[in-house]
Amino acid sequence: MLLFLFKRFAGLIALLVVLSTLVFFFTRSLPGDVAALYVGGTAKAEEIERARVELGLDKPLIVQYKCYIQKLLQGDMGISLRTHRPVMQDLMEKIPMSMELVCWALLFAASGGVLLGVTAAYHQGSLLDEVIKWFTSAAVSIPIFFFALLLQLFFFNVLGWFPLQGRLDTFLEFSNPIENITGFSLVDTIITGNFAAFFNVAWHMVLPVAALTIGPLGIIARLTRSALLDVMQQDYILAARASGISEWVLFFYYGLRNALSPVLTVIGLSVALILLSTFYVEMIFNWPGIGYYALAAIMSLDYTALMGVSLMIGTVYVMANTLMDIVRRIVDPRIK
Amino acid sequence: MVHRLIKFMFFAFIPFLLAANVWAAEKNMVFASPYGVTTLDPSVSYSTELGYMANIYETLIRVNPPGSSDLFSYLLATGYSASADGLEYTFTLRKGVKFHDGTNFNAQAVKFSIERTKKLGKGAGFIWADLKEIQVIDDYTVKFVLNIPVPLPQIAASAYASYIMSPGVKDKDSAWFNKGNDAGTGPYMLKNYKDGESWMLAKFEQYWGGWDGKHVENILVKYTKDPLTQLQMLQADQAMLVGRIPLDSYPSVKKGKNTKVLYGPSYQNYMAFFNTTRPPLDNVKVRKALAHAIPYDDIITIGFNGMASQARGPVPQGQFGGTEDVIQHKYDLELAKKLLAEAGHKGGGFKLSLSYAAENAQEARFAPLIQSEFKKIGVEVEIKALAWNTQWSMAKEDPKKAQDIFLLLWWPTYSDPYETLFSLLHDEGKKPVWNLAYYRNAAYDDMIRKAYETIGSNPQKALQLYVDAQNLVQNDVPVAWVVDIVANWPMNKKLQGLVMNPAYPNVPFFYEMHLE
Amino acid sequence: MELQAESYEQMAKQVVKEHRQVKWFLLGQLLKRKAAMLSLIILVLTVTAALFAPWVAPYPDQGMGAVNISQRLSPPSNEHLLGTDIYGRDMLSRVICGARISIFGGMFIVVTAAFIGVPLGLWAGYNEGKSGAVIIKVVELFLSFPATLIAMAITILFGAGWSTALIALVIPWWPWYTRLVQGEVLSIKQMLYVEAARMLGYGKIYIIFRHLLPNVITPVIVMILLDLGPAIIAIGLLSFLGLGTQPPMADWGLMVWEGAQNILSEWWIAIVPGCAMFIVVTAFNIFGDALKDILTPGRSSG
Repeated sequence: MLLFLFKRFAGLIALLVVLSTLVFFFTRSLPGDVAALYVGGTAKAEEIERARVELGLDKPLIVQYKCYIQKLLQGDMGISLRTHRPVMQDLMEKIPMSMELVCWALLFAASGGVLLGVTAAYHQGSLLDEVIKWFTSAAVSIPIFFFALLLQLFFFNVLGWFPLQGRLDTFLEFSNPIENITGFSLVDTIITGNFAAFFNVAWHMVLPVAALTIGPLGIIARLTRSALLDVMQQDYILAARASGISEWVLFFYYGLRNALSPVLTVIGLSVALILLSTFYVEMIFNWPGIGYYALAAIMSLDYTALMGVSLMIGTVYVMANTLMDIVRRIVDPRIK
Repeated sequence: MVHRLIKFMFFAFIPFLLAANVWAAEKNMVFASPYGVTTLDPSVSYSTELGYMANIYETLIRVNPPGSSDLFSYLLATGYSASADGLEYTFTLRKGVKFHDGTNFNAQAVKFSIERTKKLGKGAGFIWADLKEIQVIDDYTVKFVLNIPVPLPQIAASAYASYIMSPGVKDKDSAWFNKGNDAGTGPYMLKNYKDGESWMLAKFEQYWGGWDGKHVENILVKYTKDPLTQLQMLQADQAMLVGRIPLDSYPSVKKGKNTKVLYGPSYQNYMAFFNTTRPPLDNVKVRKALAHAIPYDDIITIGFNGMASQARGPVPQGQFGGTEDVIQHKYDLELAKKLLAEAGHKGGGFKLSLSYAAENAQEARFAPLIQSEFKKIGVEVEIKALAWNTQWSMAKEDPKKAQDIFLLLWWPTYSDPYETLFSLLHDEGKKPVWNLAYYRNAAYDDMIRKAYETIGSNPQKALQLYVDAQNLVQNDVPVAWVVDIVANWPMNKKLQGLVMNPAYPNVPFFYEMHLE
Repeated sequence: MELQAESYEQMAKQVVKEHRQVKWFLLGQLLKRKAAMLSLIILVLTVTAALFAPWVAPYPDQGMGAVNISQRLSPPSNEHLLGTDIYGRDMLSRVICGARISIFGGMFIVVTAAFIGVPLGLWAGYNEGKSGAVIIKVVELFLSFPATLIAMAITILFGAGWSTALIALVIPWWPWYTRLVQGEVLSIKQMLYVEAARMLGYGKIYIIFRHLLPNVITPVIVMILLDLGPAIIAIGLLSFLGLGTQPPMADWGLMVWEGAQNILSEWWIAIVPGCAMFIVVTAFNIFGDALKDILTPGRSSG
């Protein structure tokens, strides 16, 4: 187990090194003169040259790369060309905003998905199974941006139950501003007893979280169902059934336990899907998180911010997969 | 069940909403603004933060909106006089003005501010290029000495780079400002600054103008990029003023129960640069043909909901130098076809690339109209929506490899047309910045320089020179001037007193406003 | 064990023949699945409409991008069954023309990915030496990062456009095929007739094409079918951000984006192409699932 952990960890480091290298060379080959972008406006040639020296862009690429890695190790991702603030600082502010959505979405997708999958498998072939199958087929087929718009149209425009966009009503932003402690607004508002803001944020979160949940929910449900059915056909289950263990125990104890491994894998993969979906959901729901920040960086070709965002998403993705591997290893000792 | 829960949650908010409404009702308002902040350093600022800067900082004088009896109104200066040769300007300063940090305003502060801006040389700092020195005559008199007779009052009233700041920021850098600090004399102070989210323009008690009469006192600025959100905030009475709403929603906002749209003059215009360095656009007849094939009226309908007019030349109508004497190329497909044939391209048959800034919703809307219309004269257009930075840097790199047509939204830094005419069309040699037609005409360059230098002494002659220079350009058609836009503010009917001043684009001067 | 060449050939043929019989039987089953048949009908209709778009669309020129300002923002009516967009273009024609971009684009991505991925997978699976290991490492590297993010990066780098977007999506897509095929090959390789062929001294290329390829074809086809939906969505995702298809071409994702600003009033501009995308992708997914159940029973789905 220790050896396995060590290996995974080494692999993780190697991947991160590859990732940061790729990101570096990617951003360096973007169109446009970085120094000119940094200075912006109607800058004079001398000023651009000054910025070039200041940013170290006059040095050979390999020196720049060394410098970039050194800084990265110290948690310095450079200054955003757009916001003119350290990218790290920007990210630290935006990440909790997105994480709040991502965590809820992941929670609902995983629990709801497993629940639906188990129900469908338990009632295999029944009408319920059929209904769930249709629902999950639709869930994995609906493009996230279209679903988000549908939610807005239906729940804001037609029913008027939920707000169209945003994180907090503007009035509350003044009368009950959210104090930034953990960065997670729901937690912060509870700590500070700011319940008006708490309910308001929760109210605003419903639609974006729903939009983020739907895709992974479908995927997890489908996979859970088929993994369970697979397991239930295995010889040892048949043997166990023959030995008279009750069907219920068989299904929920032996079946679910053994189907957990592929389910965990797909939950790990869902993290990436949800992270990427935040680009769209935050844009449509005007949620000031990492996806919104990434889109703004794409639009204005803010290469330092792009570097930061892609490094961050890549890292989260790789780490989520590693973590899921380790968990799988723990719950399923058969994996070698 | 779910429904009931939601209802419950909804009613649970009502007390809070009411509480907030009491706050919002009288003297305070929410501004849902699409205008982001690039930098809060008043010396460096040269972007959309202008709307806030102009409420926090003040200039010596301010250009009045067109139609006013006086050209300028006096803010930190109470008057000025020019020497006969136009090389020296003496300003008398207002007494009893305090900066937000408590420092007294005086001649030293003026000298400090302008010198800081000029020395930093960033943003619009170039406007002080012809300034030789600033002499402090006494505490409330300051003299500007120039190298050449440029129109200093216009420069001192510039929307950018002419703000006066407290000498207390002597050792502060841009980063200090960007944390949300300010050092102005304006009616509002910056508070609770959360970059990219929200901030407050809060009443400055000791403002020299005083707070008698009706004024908006606190403005909560909610940074809101999305037009749809702004529309929704406006319609739900959550914002009194918004910047941008979806183009097709203007009719409904105009008719709205609580909402209206205020229209006003603007010096902003859209243009299409033709790449004059390579075939087929190096041929003036082809360029002229294309200028006649742009569907100006359709662009105005679809891109601007009818609130714009076909541009005449580089200088918008209403600004000094923008007159009806400038030749206009009208939409005329038959003429366009004829011109193409004369140029040896009968029936078109060539392909052009057109680039525009993907961030710009208007350009995104009207670029396809140009494409569709050019197709009718046999010219294929490939549209490239690029991030503004990319679009611009690709256009600057190598004209021979650059785009054929470049769409640009332009607005002047200060109200004299020289800056526009110089930036957009003067010979920039191998390093183009704004002259993205890569146009070269020495006669033109001379003419505008001469106009710029005579405006102080003989405005009539300068005007004539500006018009002649524009006509020179119009015959060469390096650029098709698409539309002069009409500025607009969608707002709540309660909000009164907003005066649109085209010299300060998209600036809501809150001090002049009040809520009914 | 001693083996004659003929008996080996017979063995191989027998396996293939049995396989075919089973397949025909299973394909018959497809007809019994209502959902799958309905999906198939929808797919056939849309693909036909896409193929013959210039003849099927009521206003083909508007479908290709010509503006029609006098009719802008009309709600659905007899003249324009699905309404018109901000330029007055007929939405039905746009959606039909958009089907070409989206569906054929999706097919291009998946098929190209398979053409690159399958040979590499065969090679990597059969050759466990250095070259195989390198392929596997590259595949693993690609699979370690989110595919859409890679595609976005590529389109940012090389400039947005339909063809760039397609290529940008193929690049992170092929490794999935390599991995699938490699896994299949590793298990087939152990089978008796392959071992036999090797012992008889048949060349690598011969074995790969004669024995390995036919055996991986079924899972690859299933994967292609299941990937079509996601590929169509992926194009839409890029286009929605302005990184894919450029106006005035009709692309479903781009059309949804164009309509997003008008969602509260002229809702049909975004909803019509969105529904088209949803329906077609769902149809591909259901049909793909059914085929998978039939062709490769007993495999867990992903």
